[in-house]
Amino acid sequence: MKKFRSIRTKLVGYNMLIISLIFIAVLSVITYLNIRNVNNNVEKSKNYIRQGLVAKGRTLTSNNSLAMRQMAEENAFNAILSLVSSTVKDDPDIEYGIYMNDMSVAWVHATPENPSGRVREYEPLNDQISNWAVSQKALSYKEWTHNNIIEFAAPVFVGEQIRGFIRYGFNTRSMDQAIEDVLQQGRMMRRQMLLMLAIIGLVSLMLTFLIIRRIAVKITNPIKALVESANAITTGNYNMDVPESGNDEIGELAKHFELMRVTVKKYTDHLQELVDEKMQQVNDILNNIDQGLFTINLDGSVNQEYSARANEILKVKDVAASALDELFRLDPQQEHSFNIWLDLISKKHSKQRWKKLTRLAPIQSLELSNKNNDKDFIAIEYQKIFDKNGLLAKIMILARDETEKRIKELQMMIERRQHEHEVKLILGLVNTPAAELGDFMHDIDERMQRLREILEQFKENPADKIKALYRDIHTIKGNSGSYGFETLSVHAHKAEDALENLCNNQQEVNLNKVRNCLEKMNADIAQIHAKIKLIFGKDEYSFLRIPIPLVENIAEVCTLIDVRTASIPIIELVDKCRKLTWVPIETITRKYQKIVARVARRQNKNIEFSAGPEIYLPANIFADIDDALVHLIQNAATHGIEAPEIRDELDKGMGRISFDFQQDDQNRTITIKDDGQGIDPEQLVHFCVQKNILTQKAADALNRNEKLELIFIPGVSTCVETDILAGRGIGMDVVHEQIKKASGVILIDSKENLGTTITLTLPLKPLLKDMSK
Amino acid sequence: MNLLKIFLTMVILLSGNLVSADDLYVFFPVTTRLRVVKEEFTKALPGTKITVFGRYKDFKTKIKMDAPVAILTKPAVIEQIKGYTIKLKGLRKGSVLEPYVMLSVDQKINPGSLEKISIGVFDILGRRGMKKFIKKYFDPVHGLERVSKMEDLLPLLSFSMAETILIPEYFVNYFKTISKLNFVVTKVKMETGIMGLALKEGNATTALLKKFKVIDQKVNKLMEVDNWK
Repeated sequence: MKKFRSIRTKLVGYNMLIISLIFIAVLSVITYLNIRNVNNNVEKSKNYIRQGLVAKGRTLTSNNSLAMRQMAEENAFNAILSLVSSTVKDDPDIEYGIYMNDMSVAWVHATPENPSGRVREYEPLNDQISNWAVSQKALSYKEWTHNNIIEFAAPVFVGEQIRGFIRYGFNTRSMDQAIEDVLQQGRMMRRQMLLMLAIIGLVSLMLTFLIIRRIAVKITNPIKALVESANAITTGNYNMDVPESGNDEIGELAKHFELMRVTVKKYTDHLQELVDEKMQQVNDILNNIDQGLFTINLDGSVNQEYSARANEILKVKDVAASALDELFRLDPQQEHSFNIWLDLISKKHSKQRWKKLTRLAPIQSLELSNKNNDKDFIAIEYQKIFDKNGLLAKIMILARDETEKRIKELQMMIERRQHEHEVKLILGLVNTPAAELGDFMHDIDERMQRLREILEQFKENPADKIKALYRDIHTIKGNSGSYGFETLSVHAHKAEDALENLCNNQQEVNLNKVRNCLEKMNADIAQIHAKIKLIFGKDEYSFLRIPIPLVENIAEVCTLIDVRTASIPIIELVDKCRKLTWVPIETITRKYQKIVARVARRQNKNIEFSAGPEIYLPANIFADIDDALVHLIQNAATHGIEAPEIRDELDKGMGRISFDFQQDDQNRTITIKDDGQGIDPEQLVHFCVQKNILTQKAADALNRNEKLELIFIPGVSTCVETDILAGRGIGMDVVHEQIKKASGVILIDSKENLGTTITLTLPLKPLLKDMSK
Repeated sequence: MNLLKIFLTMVILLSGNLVSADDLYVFFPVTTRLRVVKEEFTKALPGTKITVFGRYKDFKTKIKMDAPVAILTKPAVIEQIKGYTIKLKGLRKGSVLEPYVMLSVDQKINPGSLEKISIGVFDILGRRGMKKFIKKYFDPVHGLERVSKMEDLLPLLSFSMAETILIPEYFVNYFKTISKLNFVVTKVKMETGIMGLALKEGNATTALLKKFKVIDQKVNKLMEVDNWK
């Protein structure tokens, strides 16, 4: 905004500026002319003086050369000496006088220092000026600037013969002095003239200033009075009369201005009455509506108008007497944010949709404690209010008590979750074959029993206990999740969290947390049992459990029968007996398929699980390594298969996990292969080095396979975060331990973006051995 | 100097008609100022109008314009002026002749070999007269430098304008007095008359002669003359 400058200041300023410029211009012209005149005069004087000096020198030298003819002829040394010395002595302009003969030998050399003119040296003169002088055939002169001398030289003739030369050197000192005098005089005159002009100019400027100021005051006083009246009207004071001024344009303006003031006052008074009336109506409305309603200005200040209900909802005595931070219970950070938001909407309300802006408001709802120490939920809405010019003037805030609504919503949400949980539980139970479910429940019961026992003996070697707890809880988490028992899976995950805390700090409080989690898991398991009972009518499962040793015994007995001599029925019996418990591999691996499906659902992945070849196998063929397989498949789905967007980018399409079983005379081989991102061996090494599991030196010595095998070390994971599915670095440890226990060997091969293949080679089971025969 | 010349000329012209039978023109080499010489002569010869000349040219010109009754000068000069006869000769040590010497600086002059030497002389006969006069005694001579004042002979040596100066012997002491140069005197075979008083031919006056015979010795001393014959 430009700084205010009064008309008076401008009038005086501009006039003074113009006059000053004119004065400076005149002064400059006069000075220039004066300098030019002085320079011309100096030049003329210089010429006159020079001409006079030259004329004088010429006359003197010429006369001397004539007078000396006789003297030269008669070799009148003394006469010449006398003449030259007296001439030099008498004339201060003459620097020297020389008479030299035709051989350039000076007879006389008179100077102010040697007034007698007698010569001590009789050698010919050979300087530049003498050489010039001796070359002259008639009177000549030349100015020698190096010593400021004008030399006049004339030959002295005797008859036709030159007998000598008379030379006079005139210094230009007097000429220079005369020129300097002229210059000094010129300068002094100029100084005096400039001083005089400056004084006259200053006096004139002062007088002009006073006159212009007086005129300016006379012109601007009525304007000033008008401005004061306008200011008063601007502030709403329409009672101040506009003073009458002269008979010029300003006087006319003052008359019209006064007329305008009177008219505006009349309308304003009428308008105020209307406003008062409307305000009363608004207040009546506000006091009767069932919403907390009040307005704030764009600077955050609260206005006077508000609905009576607002006090009740916001739990204050007087909304208008409260600041916004009191009404909204804002901490300094929130207050700062709110002010930023106000600033934002004041700038952007015309460009952005209001709803969009209100969604950015830092306060969307309030939770206020009521008399019963419960929370009241208050929803806050913002509405814009424009002034008559269409500019955003205020913000209307609606505070709505939604406590009851919120409570109902919460209750509904809880009920919905319970229903969802139950549905999932029932679906899990219904979709799982009874035998498989029985195995699962039996397995869980065993594991829970083991967990309880471990906890009871926790203080004995707690590190091993924690490890054991991890394994079982992790397996329960994975299995329960795969069957759709999510609550159990979630509680198992929390139990893992509690175990992690216990591992870091083996305090009783952390141990109790683990116990609490286990209790919750027990409750979940009890609920599953209850649902089983509800669905199946009993909590026992309606299938025959034949212990594997018994089956194996039967198979063993069958091997004793010589089938070569046996009858066909016997042979068939033997074959049936061997395959009593055999099921399709697809059935055996359904559990793993569910794990993959669960992961895919949770992580929004698209994964296809396949198992092969299409053969029948004993149902418990993988029982000894079941935990290992669960973890391997869960890891493949969770960590191996990439997120859909990444796979799309790599043009890899649907994720694939394959389960392949092969056997030979000695071994059974299980290959789990995924086409995911693969395992980065360097990332494993980095993790191990960072966690001090491995030194850098040892890491550098590892080959690629050895680096990949680091994943079997407990606690090693390539995941940054843990979740309910995996990422704690426990699963692979379980795999390793279990395979090792089953005398198996693990081979791991992984290629970046191509996937990971894990091959488990285990000794053939006796039953299978027989079969192979 | 020019003004002085003009003044003297005017005086001579104006006084020409006033010269009586006893006017005497004096011209001879002298180291004393002409004004002093004139005063001494005027004092010694009352009633005689004395005019003293410093230069032969002025002396000769004046005689031509206004011939005086008597002239007092060197006999060699008188010989050049027609219409005057020597009546009295100046004697010095009983001789009417005076010997000349050559005065040079640092080295002696061979009077028999002057063909490469310039000689400085006091001009008593003008340029031509002096040449002729000197030629009688020394021939050949390379150059002749004339002066009208005795003291101007010394610069001729100083400025090497002349290797030697030819002067009456009695002037040797004068030069030795005024200069510290290492003068070398060479005697030459030359003798000329010391002074002569000549009267205008046809003029029978004897008064001047009488006066000269008893003239003050102080005046004779000016002319380096002991007495008159």
